[in-house]
Amino acid sequence: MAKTKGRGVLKAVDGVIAITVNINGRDQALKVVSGEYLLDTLRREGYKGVKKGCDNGDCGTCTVLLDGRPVLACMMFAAQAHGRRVLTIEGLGTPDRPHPIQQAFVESGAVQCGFCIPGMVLATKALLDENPDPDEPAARRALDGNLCRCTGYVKQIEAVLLAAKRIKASPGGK
Amino acid sequence: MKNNIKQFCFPTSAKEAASLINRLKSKAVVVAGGTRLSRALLPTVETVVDLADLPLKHIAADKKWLRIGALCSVAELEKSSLLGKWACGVIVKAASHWSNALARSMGTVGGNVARAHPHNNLPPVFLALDAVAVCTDGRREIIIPFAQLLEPGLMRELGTRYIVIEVRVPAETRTWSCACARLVLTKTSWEAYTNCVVAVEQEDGAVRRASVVIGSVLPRAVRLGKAEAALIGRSCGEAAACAAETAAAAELQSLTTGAPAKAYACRTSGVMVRRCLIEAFNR
Repeated sequence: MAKTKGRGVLKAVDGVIAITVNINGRDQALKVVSGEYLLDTLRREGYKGVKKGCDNGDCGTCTVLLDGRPVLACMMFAAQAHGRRVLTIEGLGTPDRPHPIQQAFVESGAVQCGFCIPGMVLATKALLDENPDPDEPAARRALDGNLCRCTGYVKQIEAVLLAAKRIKASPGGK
Repeated sequence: MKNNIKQFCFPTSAKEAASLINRLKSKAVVVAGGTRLSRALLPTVETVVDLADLPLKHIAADKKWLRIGALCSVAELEKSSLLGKWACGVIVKAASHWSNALARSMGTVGGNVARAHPHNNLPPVFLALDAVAVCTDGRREIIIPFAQLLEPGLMRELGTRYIVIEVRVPAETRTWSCACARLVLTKTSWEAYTNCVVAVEQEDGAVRRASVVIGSVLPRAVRLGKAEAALIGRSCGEAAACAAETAAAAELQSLTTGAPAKAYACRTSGVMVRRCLIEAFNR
């Protein structure tokens, strides 16, 4: 579902708003409390890969892609996602068939506690969709909004560069 | 969670958005990127006016102006090849200094300007480039120079009475020699000790016109007239830059009424002015 033109007005009935969001390729009709943040909605709907960290826009662990653009799910209302496409980490790969970015993170030893990783993987996806061949400064810059409490941001950058190499080499480059 | 919200509106034109906020007054709030506002809503707010669907994402130039749509994200400014060539790429550089990748992806030009917090990067650069903001109240469009826009009285009306449509930068600034720099604790710090932008028009190796702007030190970005006056007519070199440094530090001292807490910021602002000028002269 592409972002629709003229989304009009969403009114709350008894404090609840009905929205339709395309989450990971599937249109979903959701009922959300009017002032609920997208982060809380996604987690309640079972997308637990969207982590709740600072809840204040500082840590980047709640990163999702909104119409392909990385955004902080804790900084926007769920109703603002009405009529738009949201990609969470659950939509990127599966444990059996991980996405090349996820595979690269594992192989590079970039995952320690793992709390920041969904956000980092999605930030990496946004970067590689736009720039399939980033250099190290570009990779660092793309991930500078995603904080990691365990590591020194070395392995993750290696993972981004490895993922870029793998995706470029794969048929179709995806 | 903000339980006082009763509706979300998604207008498709700036006129429609401005009409809404003028009708609903303190019961409405406009959200563009939403990087700060969504967490700081007043309890009076019952309607969120989401500007995301407005067709204001253009970056284009014509004979008179460089036009930047208010809904361009800071990341889009950073990646614009047109802006990269404009005024030594100073807008791109200022955009790239802003916070982190996620904030740049969400934050918009309009939000950065309309909520012109002293630490925001874009107001100083637009002020230095003699830019104007095109705003609407739903009935008519008005053009406001940045020097006026940053005044507290008018600032309060942005987002409550007026919607920013676009920022226009005069075409003549394309060839100006510009530079900007921030003094911050870490690269991704939003708050800065000082935020300096200089724009110089050179003629036969001398300064014909100059803008020296400092953000972060005072509640709003300011042009330092005395530092600019110290540059006019002088040959573009270190001596002129040093004169501007002294004048800038002294002017800021007077503007901060010599507050000891601001002494460091005033001194370092002077240094930043000198460094930026030398960088601009060498371009």
